[in-house]
Amino acid sequence: MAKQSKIRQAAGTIIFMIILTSISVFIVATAFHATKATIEYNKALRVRQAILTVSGISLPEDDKAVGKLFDENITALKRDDKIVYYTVKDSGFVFNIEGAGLWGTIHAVVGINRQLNAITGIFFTEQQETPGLGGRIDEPWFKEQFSGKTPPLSMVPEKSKADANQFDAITGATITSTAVKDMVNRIMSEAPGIVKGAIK
Amino acid sequence: MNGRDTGLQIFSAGIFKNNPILVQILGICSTLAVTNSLRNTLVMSIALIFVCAFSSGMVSLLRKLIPGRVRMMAEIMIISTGVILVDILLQAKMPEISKQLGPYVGLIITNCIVMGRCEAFALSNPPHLAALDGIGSGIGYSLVLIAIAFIREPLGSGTLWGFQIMPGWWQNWAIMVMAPGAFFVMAVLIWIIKSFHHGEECACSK
Repeated sequence: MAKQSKIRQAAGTIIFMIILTSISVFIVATAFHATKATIEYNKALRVRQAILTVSGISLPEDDKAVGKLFDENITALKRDDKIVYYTVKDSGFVFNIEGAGLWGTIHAVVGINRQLNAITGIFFTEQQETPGLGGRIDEPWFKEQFSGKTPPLSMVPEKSKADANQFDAITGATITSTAVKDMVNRIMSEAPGIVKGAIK
Repeated sequence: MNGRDTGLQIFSAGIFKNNPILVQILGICSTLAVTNSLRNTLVMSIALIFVCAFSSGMVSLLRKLIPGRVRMMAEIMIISTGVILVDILLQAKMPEISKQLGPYVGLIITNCIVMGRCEAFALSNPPHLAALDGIGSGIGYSLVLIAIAFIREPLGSGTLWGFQIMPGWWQNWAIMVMAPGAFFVMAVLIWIIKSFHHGEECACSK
């Protein structure tokens, strides 16, 4: 008798959890499907905005115009179905780069002119640097100072006057600044090879 | 809680007498993580209030059905559902803020306040009171977080809500933008509030 009621109790518990789990999964799945398109659109929009910005093209006020502007100006060059770099109409190239930051990988897109000797812009698409220190690489002054710079770059302290081959590092974020420097210098030395490789 | 507390008492207990951070010292992890910017703090607070109210209400609604042995599993299931809903909503509607908050939204699942309220209150009280209790605790948490952010953001970044408010000569305190900065601010805050609160408690306890 006692045993039977124990089994019944256990079965009830299991059935309760199965039902609760099913309902939860159903709710989450519905919400996920309802917003999937918007989330993917947002992601694509962010990537496109980043690429346009670093190639020196000013962004339209309306987000809906970004797609059209992107298609008109940017062509992705693929090798084995993987995007190697983007060519910008009449002006240069955009590369995806990454480097080891303090807490994780820093992902960025960097624009380089047609002669492959100067930077047209940089934008960090993903980073986990310390907010307020290394995280300041996302601040406009830091990103904007790179346009027109001719690598190989070296660092000077924040708020000093940087030459064409120097950039202001972030105070208190030497590791992050060095990571950015290395990322930029590496892509500048590799870019001619990558572009040639694609041309053949 | 003794017997029949009114809704208002339950609601305000979460904010003052039983403030989750200052009195119960719960939910510290997210306090440390998000309070270096007021904007992130506010979004985090709204998310937590929602999750707290939603899960307390749901747990209370199901309290007679939930088998005692698996009640924690059931609570976590309900909490996770609420949190994932918030996360998806943020990703769709506020992609920038969702990116900044990163993993912290998902970590609301493990925020002790949410489960603490489910265990301590929702399991033995009717849904409307449980939801009220959840909202109260959520607001109690939020007020403290906002107070901390109000101190940390200007000291650490020289800004408030992203606007520069400190004068040009101001040197940012790097410690304030990092998690340990919140420990200092929170400790001082708890110290101040407790020294006031304690006096009051002695006067009215009997």
